[in-house]
Amino acid sequence: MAVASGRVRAPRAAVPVFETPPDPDTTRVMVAIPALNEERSIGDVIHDVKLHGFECVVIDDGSSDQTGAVAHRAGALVMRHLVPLGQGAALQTAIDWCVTNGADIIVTFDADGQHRAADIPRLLDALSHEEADFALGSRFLGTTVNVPRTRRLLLMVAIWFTRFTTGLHVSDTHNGLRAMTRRGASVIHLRQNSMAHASEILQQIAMSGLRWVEVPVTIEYNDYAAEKGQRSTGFIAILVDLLMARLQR
Amino acid sequence: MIGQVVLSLPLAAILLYGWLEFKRSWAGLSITLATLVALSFVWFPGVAAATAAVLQLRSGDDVVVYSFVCLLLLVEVNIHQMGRRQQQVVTKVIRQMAITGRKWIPSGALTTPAEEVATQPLPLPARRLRRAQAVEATIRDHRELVAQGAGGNEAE
Repeated sequence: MAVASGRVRAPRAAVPVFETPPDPDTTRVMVAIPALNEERSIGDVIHDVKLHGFECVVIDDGSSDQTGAVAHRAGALVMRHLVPLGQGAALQTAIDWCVTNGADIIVTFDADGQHRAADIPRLLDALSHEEADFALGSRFLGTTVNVPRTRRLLLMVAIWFTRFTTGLHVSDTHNGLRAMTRRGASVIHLRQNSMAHASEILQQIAMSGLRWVEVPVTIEYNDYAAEKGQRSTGFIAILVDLLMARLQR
Repeated sequence: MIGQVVLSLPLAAILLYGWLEFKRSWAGLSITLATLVALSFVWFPGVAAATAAVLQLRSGDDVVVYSFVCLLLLVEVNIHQMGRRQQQVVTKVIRQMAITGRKWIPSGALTTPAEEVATQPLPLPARRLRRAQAVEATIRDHRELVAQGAGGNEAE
């Protein structure tokens, strides 16, 4: 498996993440899925994840439809924000909950069906074999299906921007499929509620000095994901959010 | 002179705003300093004219206008930051509610958070509890007195 890895600084504690490769029977993997008005896709996503034997934690980010109920019926643990806060806030809620409830590995996964649960074991393998704390999914090392040309162009700009601001030589950014160890999750404290959280995660990974790897994954832009996904103008909002966060004391 | 006074009134308000915000945000200090500079432009036209010459602007009046624009931008940034801080507080509260509103139950045997919350009695603060107990005791005493009074009337 082709993985790219990196580390900005030496890790604070030079202990391996796993003394032995994680045993799938004892390592507790929780898949965190933030969801807002995803009743059409969330059931299939949870079935797909559970089919691979992972626990699902869904953060219903104040949906106005039946997202929470559908996720509940599909067998996920559902937590609900009273009002929509944003994907970043939902993700941090999921991470907080998973860390305090005994997760060994936390996987973040999008609810719109663009990710494949079959990629999760590859992320976990990368964590154990590369002794990394973060395994970041990369669509550009892997496969993309039906990615719009404008989206590809914007992602290229975002990758350049991320490399420039964080120093992480990543090949993909704003990819919601990633895995982190408990130690890795404990250094993530997202303050960006909106989509800028993806850049913030990379910034915090760079600041932590913990080891990270990139793993090829498949992203499928189906009609539903394209309809629900970010607009091209969202890039400007992300830039403003990141700038404002820098200005905040 | 009248123009200078008219321009100084909003600047004084912004100066006060910047001073009050100083402890909360770096923007407060920036606003305070920028307002003092703008006030010097208003009250000392020579300074504004000299600055205009350095910045290659047409006149000192332009410098005053531009300083007002910069000030308003700083105020806007500060208001945006206040909004962000409020949002972070709200996020913490809602996150805590989402997390504590549910206990871990193995997947497949779930109840909705609303049901769980509804089954748990809300704890009252001690002061409110004592007050509620006192009100209940008063009502009980009142009923007993009424009942005794009614009994006494019957006996008569």
